Amino acid sequence: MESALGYFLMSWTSPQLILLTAAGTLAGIYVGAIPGLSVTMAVSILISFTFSWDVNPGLALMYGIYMGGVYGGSRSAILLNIPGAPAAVASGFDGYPLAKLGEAGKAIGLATTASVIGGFMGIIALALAAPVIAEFSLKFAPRDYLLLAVMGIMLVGSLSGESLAKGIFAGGLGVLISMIGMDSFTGQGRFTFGSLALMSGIHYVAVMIGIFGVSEALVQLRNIGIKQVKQDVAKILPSWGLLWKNAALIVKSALIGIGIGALPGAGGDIAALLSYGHARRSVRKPSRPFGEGAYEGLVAPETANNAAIGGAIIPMLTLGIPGDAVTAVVIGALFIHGLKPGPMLMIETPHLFWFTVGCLTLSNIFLLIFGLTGVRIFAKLVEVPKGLLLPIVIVISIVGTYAINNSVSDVYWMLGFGILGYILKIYGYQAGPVILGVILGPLMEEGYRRAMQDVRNSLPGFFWQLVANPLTLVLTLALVFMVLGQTRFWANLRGRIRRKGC
Amino acid sequence: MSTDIPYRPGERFLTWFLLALSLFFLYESFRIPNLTSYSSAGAFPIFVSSVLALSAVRILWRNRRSFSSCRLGLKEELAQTRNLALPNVVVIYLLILAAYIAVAGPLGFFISTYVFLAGSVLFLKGASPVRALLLAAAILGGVYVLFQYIFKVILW
Repeated sequence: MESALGYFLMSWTSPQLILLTAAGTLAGIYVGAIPGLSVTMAVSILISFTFSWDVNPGLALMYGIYMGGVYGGSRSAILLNIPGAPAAVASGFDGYPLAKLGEAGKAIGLATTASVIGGFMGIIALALAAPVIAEFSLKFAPRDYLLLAVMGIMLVGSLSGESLAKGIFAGGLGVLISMIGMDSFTGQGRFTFGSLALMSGIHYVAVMIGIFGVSEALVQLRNIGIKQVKQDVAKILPSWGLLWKNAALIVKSALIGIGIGALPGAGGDIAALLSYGHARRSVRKPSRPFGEGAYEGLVAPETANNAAIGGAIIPMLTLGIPGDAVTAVVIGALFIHGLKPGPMLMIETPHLFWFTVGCLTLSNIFLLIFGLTGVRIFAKLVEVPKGLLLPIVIVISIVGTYAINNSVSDVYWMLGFGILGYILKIYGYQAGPVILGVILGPLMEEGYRRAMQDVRNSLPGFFWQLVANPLTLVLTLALVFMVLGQTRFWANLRGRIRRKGC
Repeated sequence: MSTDIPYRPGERFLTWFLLALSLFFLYESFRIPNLTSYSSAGAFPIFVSSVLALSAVRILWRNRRSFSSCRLGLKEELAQTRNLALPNVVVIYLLILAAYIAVAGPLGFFISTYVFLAGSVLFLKGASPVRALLLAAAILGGVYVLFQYIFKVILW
């Protein structure tokens, strides 16, 4: 126990590690907030110049960026309606309306507090329940990942648009985009139309920047003359009353975040969307209607996505399976340092586990400090005339897209998806499901194909598996109820039951 | 789910276009070679493009009344569609953006980005001409330092 505490405090007692964790967290917030820069990209770039460092300083910087970056995405989601990271997609649903109401400061303060509380709960789960949760996630079969991903897309599709059909279409479009290029199973080209350049596919960051960055800028162009709402950032710290009122929601969202984060491949993005959906269904009297600036709609995803960090690290360290894209990169960094994440890691190198827990805790404290300061500079962004702000967003989006592969063709893709996203937005299709489809598409397809291979390509066998296993049955039923819940049949049935009850 | 969304000019054209696009992808999915089992490379694309096509049909069916209630002539609806979806400011800015991306390679990062920034700020009336030129230089410097030195991104 003493040695565990010693390992935990390692990053707290070394000035170099404290500085690196702080620098990483601060950098992460800005990386996460700037559209076009992703935490995954920053951590990948970091690996290139930290591989000659000792493992601890390298990890301190990476964990800091990870923690700060997941939170940082909420800032641009709140202020610009451009999520800096997929995990912040749901934060914009109510965060941006809050900014439009002039409450950007309060929204950022609330997002910070929720993120920090969620982060702490995730870290506690990582420290205490790692073996148990890792064992549970081992029980998930490929079909379960497929169901989980479909649920994620259905959820955001039903939540963010004017009709479920439009949400499903947008999500399906994203999945289809993710399939362009070489099939990872067979190496066959799909939807490449004979183009070699398309064999490597379309990078999801180019799609994300186009659909969120450029299309939002084009939509904003239509209202170029409208004066900006002055943001009230005088009061950033949320009141105890507001936090207490949302305490139960925070705890539930953190638990969703931890659980989802612990599932391999499912990170903060799904956790945030699921917890947003949960809040929307469970909160009976929100501060405002959801989608119009409800505090609950911001608290739930922000708590969940940071709680998912602790969750995502559980399978990374105990099973060697990444919980999300960033942990996949971190696994690469651990390999570079001669460490092999997996069941033996906690036995052979327990210091690494407790060092990770200590680093994340320290980073979360820095997150609170940096998150509640410097908000005025960020809030000033939305007071800048749109005629000045939009060209900056466009240039950063272009440079960020170019940085993916140092390729101009990615920039053309970004522009194309920007125009597509703009047209879809004008006609009531939402961008969120498209991006979610692009991100979850590979996971869905892999889940489907592995599940099919498990039953030797038997269609009846596949459907039987959806109800034969208790865990899968729960997910299947959840999905069925999710679909039924959006139909008139369900609304009529509920109406009838209520009338009978009266 | 709201059911009373007023008809937006051009919406039926877009929905029919999306249906055609879905069917095109469905056709292309069937053309993916070695479609021999439910787990072959073309199986999941067929499923997804079928979902897209069915969703588009559902959107058409759900909005059939509002689509058929549109009394605008083709020419008039096209004009209204342009006003709604492609107003002049959007079209002109898209042309500026496309021109910037096209000349960015030959002209290099500094010249192309400076001209784009200054031109955009002037076109969108973000600042007076002199301030636009100065602001463009300042923004360009900031972007350059951020990407070149902090994020180590190689600019073109």
